[in-house]
Amino acid sequence: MPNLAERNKNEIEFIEQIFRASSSMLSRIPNIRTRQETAIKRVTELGFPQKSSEDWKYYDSQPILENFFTLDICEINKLDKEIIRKHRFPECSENLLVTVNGHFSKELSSTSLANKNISIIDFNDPEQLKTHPQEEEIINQYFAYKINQEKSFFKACNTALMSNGFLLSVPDDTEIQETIQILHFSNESCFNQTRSLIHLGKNAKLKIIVSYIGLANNHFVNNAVVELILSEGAYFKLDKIQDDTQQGILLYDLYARLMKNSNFEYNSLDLKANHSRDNIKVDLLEPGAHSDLSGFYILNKDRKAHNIIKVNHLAPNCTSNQLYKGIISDSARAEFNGEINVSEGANGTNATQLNKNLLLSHNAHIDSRPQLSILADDVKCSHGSTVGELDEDEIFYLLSRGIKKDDALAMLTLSFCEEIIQKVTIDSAKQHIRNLTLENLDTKIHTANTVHKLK
Amino acid sequence: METKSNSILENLNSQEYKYGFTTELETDSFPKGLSEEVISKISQIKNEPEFMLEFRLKAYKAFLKMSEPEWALLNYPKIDLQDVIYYSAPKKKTGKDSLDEVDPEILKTYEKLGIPIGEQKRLEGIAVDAIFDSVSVANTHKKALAEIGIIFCSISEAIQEHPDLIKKYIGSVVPHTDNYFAALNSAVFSDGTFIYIPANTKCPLELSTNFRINTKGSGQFERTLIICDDNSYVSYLEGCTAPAFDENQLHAAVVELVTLDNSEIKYSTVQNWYAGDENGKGGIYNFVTKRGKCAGKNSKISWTQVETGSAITWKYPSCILLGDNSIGEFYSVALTNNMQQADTGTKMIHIGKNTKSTIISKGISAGKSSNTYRGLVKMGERAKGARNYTQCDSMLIGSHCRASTVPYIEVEGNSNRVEHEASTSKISEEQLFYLQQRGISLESAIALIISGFCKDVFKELPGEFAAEANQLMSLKLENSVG
Repeated sequence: MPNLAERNKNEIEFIEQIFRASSSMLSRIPNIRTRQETAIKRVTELGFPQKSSEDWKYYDSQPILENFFTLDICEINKLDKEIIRKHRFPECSENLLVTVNGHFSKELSSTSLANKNISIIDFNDPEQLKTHPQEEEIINQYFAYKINQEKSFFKACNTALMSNGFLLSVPDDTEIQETIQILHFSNESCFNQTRSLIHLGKNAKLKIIVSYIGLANNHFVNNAVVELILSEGAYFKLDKIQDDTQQGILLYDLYARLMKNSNFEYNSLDLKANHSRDNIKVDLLEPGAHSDLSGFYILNKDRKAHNIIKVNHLAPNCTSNQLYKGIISDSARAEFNGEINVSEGANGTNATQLNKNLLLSHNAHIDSRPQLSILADDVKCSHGSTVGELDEDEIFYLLSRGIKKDDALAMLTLSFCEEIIQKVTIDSAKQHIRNLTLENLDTKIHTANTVHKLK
Repeated sequence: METKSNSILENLNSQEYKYGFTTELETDSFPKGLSEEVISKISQIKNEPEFMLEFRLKAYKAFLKMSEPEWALLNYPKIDLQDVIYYSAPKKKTGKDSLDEVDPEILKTYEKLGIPIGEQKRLEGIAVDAIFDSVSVANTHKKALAEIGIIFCSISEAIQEHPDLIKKYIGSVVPHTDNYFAALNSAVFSDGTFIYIPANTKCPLELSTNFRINTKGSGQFERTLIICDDNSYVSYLEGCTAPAFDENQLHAAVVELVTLDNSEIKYSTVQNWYAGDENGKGGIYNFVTKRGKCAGKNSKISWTQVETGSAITWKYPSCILLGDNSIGEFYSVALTNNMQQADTGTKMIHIGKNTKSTIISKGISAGKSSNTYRGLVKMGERAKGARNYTQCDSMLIGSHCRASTVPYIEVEGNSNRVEHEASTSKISEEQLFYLQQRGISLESAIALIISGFCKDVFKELPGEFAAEANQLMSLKLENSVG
């Protein structure tokens, strides 16, 4: 089989290229640097993910391998301030963090954040750390956590290649009222490494809305890694909007560690991009921790979305929910691979998992795998998955009320995803998402009109 | 609560395996080991036509290139296939027309097992094929069935007498390259059951096979082939037992079902192979490939299984829904206790238009056992208007066992509909309290709740077996119910 041999050659070259590039990417902060060196080792040990592995069974890595050879590992790039103005939500204009091609840009980010009791540390600025001993401790403890046992190839790549990501840390007993917006721009054909570490102190509260925005007309890959630590009683809400171009690939890896009574809400909205792969892992480490994961993907053309979710109940009395909904049309393809793992002794667990899909065309495809693995007996777990099309009775009802067919279809589809959109923190973001959803639906409907009716 | 679940566990643990006896019989056995020579010898003993030997050798060649599957949630030492006896048969030549010719020791064995092969039990309305180690030793009601054109015999006999049917259908549902264990079976299978129901015939009897492994160190590789021609119906039951040995024994069977237009096969299994002792010593390794093909329009295949035995169960009775409007069903209860491990489920592959499938799976895990449901529902783009409903529930007894659910749902096309739901729970305090305050003992209450939990599946079993399954569940809770 010549194809296989070629593929392997590509994969080997991929790793070699990372190996070469990584030497120039090493951080000037010693503790980060040592972990990057370990990560380079892991990249070669792990090798490019294969289809035979259960988590990569439905993933087609060809687009990455094929396009990778035209990709550079980008330096920081200029960006017009006008573009930022266009993409930021009015509610967050004073609380903005910006990265361009994976590089954190202090100049483009709002300066007022520092006054709000939040520390933002550049991973490649040793000077800044000198005045922030607490933050240095957080980096030492949590950055690239257990990298020597890392199982994800792309996460190891990110650690090896990232140059300046950032730490965002909120001290104990601090509540940040305003929502912070993070804008990740990609404006060149690059293999971007976006990296952030978010740490919330005891009883701290924070809401973030993140947008991945592609501006490049050529292929690019955004390899993003977020590490998250919620201390006792902390509350964190994260909305992630995928707003890339048709050429963009997003690989998103989020690892959350939740301590006692902390609460994590995550909302993923996959609206654009060639394909995306969300790899979410939540460890509920101490009693009373709660996580609420939800997602919505609307796919058309030959786009793909992969959601790989692992929620690990490692302590008693933790609760978790997963709710993922998708609308798939044309020859698009989606994967939902959710896992709930309940460890021995994690009694009092209450976990739910639900995946609902609407298939709108003959070639639309869904692979859904809602999985449970339970090793404790005092547990309440349920999961479900549905696949279907719009209900004919519902369409008929609307038609019989004199609503045009296209409008009826749009109303029903929008109301299907409204459950997820409602969870988004900011109103203007909700509207933006609805607009993008309708754009994707590709029906000749009076957009504003329908949206107005729904409101 | 801790004490309660402990007492449930104690009860579960104290029950003994009723069928663990060995029968003293002289047997003809091959020496241990697997090779082309052994395969040719099996074929030779059976006096098989050339095409069968070719089929076996082709399978063996494919097998040599395969490796043991590792994706299942099962943990066991690698099986040494050279340490297995591939052929073992009771020595006395056994004629099958009259039961008088069957070795009385074997008859006694089946009597102990409660299987009606004796003349006096003929009235019970079940035709039985009894398979002892590698060969079929008794087959009842054959003549009566032959009168209406039904062929019900051992597969060795069918290879002799109906080579055309065998040639046409063997390997047509489970090809010899299908998987590691199916390839092994195709190479070395020794006997099994063959059923052919001619067109426009409703089989008047429940057909049944009882499998018994008797010889130490032997593996059992049986092959079952059931063909149901146009507008026909058959209900088939299968039971399995084995003596209690300290070492593990391998059982790798292949079952193929074919239904043509408007026909239906109902296939029920009560699997009670020896499960090993409470420390996980001994027991059967049960690696079975079962698959049905709804080849005709409006045809139906229904699998019902009650899995209570075996140290390791690896079994996915599946349906290929090829004909338009065909229906696949899977009803399963899997009970694991002590160190047992089960990874079982089904595959429903929708190809034809308006095909429907239902999956009901109930898993109960106790002790330190592990119980996994693994199921695939696949709808291709050709399958318009396909429907699936899946429900898989797990119950955990005690805090050291494991229950997993691993469904795979792969759907293409907008006119197909899938619903999957699952839950995991334990026996609720409220239910127990309610029953106990009505004067029902704790043990009876537990038996009652478990029986209720499994009701959806048991009601699918034919009359005889439903009673047996209930009994079996009670047996697993013997001291509490008695």
